[in-house]
Amino acid sequence: MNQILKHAKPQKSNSDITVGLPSSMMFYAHGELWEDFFSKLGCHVEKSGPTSREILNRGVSLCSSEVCMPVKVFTGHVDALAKRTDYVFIPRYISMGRHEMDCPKFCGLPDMVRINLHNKVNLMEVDIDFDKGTEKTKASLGSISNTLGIDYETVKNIFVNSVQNKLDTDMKVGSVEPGIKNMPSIAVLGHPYMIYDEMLSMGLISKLKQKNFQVLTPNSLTRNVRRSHLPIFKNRNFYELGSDILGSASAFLELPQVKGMIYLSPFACGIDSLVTEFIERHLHNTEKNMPFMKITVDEHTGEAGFDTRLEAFLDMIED
Amino acid sequence: MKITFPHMGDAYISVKVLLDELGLDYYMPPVGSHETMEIGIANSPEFMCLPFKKVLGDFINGLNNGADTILFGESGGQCRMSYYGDLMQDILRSMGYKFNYIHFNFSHLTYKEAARNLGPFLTGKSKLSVIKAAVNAGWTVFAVDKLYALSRKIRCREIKHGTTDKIMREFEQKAQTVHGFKNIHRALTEARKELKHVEIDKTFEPVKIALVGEIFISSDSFTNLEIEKKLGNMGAYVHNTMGVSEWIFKHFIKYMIPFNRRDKSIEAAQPYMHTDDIGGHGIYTIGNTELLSHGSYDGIIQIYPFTCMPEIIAQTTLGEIQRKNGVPVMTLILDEMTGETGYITRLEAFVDMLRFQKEQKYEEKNQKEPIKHPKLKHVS
Repeated sequence: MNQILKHAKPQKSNSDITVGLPSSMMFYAHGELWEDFFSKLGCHVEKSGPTSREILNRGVSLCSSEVCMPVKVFTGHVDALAKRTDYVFIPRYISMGRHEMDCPKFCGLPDMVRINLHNKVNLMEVDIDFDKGTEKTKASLGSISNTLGIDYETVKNIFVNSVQNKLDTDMKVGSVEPGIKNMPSIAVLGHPYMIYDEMLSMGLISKLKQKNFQVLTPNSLTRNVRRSHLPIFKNRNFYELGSDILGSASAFLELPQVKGMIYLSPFACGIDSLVTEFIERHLHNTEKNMPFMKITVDEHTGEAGFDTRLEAFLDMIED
Repeated sequence: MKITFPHMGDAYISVKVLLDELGLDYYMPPVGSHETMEIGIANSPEFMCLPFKKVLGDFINGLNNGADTILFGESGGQCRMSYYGDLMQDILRSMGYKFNYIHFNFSHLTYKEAARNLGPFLTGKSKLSVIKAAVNAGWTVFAVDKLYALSRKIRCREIKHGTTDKIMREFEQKAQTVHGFKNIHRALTEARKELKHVEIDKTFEPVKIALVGEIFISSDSFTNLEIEKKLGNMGAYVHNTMGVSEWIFKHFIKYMIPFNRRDKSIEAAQPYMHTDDIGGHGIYTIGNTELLSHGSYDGIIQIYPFTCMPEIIAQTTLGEIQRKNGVPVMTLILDEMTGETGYITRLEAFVDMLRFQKEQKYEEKNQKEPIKHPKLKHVS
């Protein structure tokens, strides 16, 4: 490892290169890994920061109306970075492991963003496809090595050490403290870029904490727990995020301190249309009478209505 | 054991041939019934796509009418269709139905798996008769798609309005009622002969529209509100890039051919989408739009059900293709709430626009002989 670093450091020109990491979508899951990857390659890393109203509005105006809100927000983040960085990095997540795959929108994300920004952004891409081996992913590192002028083997080694080997471990960024305490808890389910984005989630997690609830998310559980509790699709391909949520929902069902579940979903999300239905059916089949609320949000959702629903739900639980 | 199967466009004709030839007992849900779709919608998740709702409706109708075995096939991949089976079984069982579920994944269907699933149905039947039934059914798929392609060619040029529609309606009625390969074959030949004798205006130049998009909706005339018929009667020639035969070819026959060349449309999509698969037929939508927008077609219509994930990605790139190649692209998104009148208005406006554009192109060419302008026929 040290040798690789020594090898990478002499490429001084790279420290002048700024790589932008949009703080949206899978940044909430693997942001730190990619930050580590690019700083080890000797690049300066710039993040777009938390979603603001401006970023959201910019994204909405750039995208076609049909794409889901997270993609719109992501486009806004890239647009903000395009002006102040040399390259914006967008990984193309196809599959993160055996029997796992990702939402089709992740597969087309770099291309969608490039077209929505009218080709006015320099993108760096890498294909993450681990379902059928690592060859395809490693081959796609070639473009990064060309762009940065770093020898391919070095890029590959750094990638294996700082990203690939850590994808399976629980490196996900979470606002949840590790260790589940024995106090009244609410499980917040949803894609990481929905529940951890203060703007999109309307501060759901902090609002729950203010009401003295412990907030549990899929990240509160280890990957093993999430996968072993999957009620279906155990040895079959399913969406990675879907498996996470499905598995944690049934794991939370076994925790006595969990008083209710809130599912935060962007409008017309394809994966959620399946996952929420499976969760509702699974909850229905168990004896525990678990309160479950699905909140669908989009860029037009008003916070007052959101708060009312949340309060009503919490009142019901406390009674 | 009574089998039921869902509808997807005109696929029922070949499924019928297969089951008839094998001598199996089956029940076919009614073609194009609003009632079955309503039942499907009522029992489906809200944001699930329209094909799911329609297929579920067909299943419920089938089970209500004495069927106890469901036959369903899908092609796998990143699209939600891979999970239709799991959720549908769950929904149907919670509704209290008891049934046997046979699921095929066509993209990696092995002989062993097919034999295991179909074994109980095939006892006492010779291998030869099974193969013969499969070949006949396969032939029917391609023959039916060919017939519909011919009808699209004739419809926009016919002199007596409604002749093609009448022939096709009669054919569909026959296909739904008669049994056995022989009779279907006869109906097909008759319809083809009749279509060839329809009086057409050979000098008429229709505007040419290519239909791309999600395969279920583009090939199912009930859910796409008969887009081919509507456009044809407006005097537009429609080329449907998606059909059941296309699907069978891509997901079934191509896998049996050892040397596999990369699809032409995937190749054409690469400048816009640097990957081979975005789920479903999204990549083919992009590729076909690119391939067909270099002058061979006057306009392109993308059609897909609301919330379809692959097609939303494809839609993003279509604007870029339109800018680059200068061919108008219209996207139609359908769901159970789509009103037919608004739909017709959009189609009419699109055809009108293409016709004016075509006329303008002729004028620019400064032709001395006034060329016969493509005329617009209105839906009665």
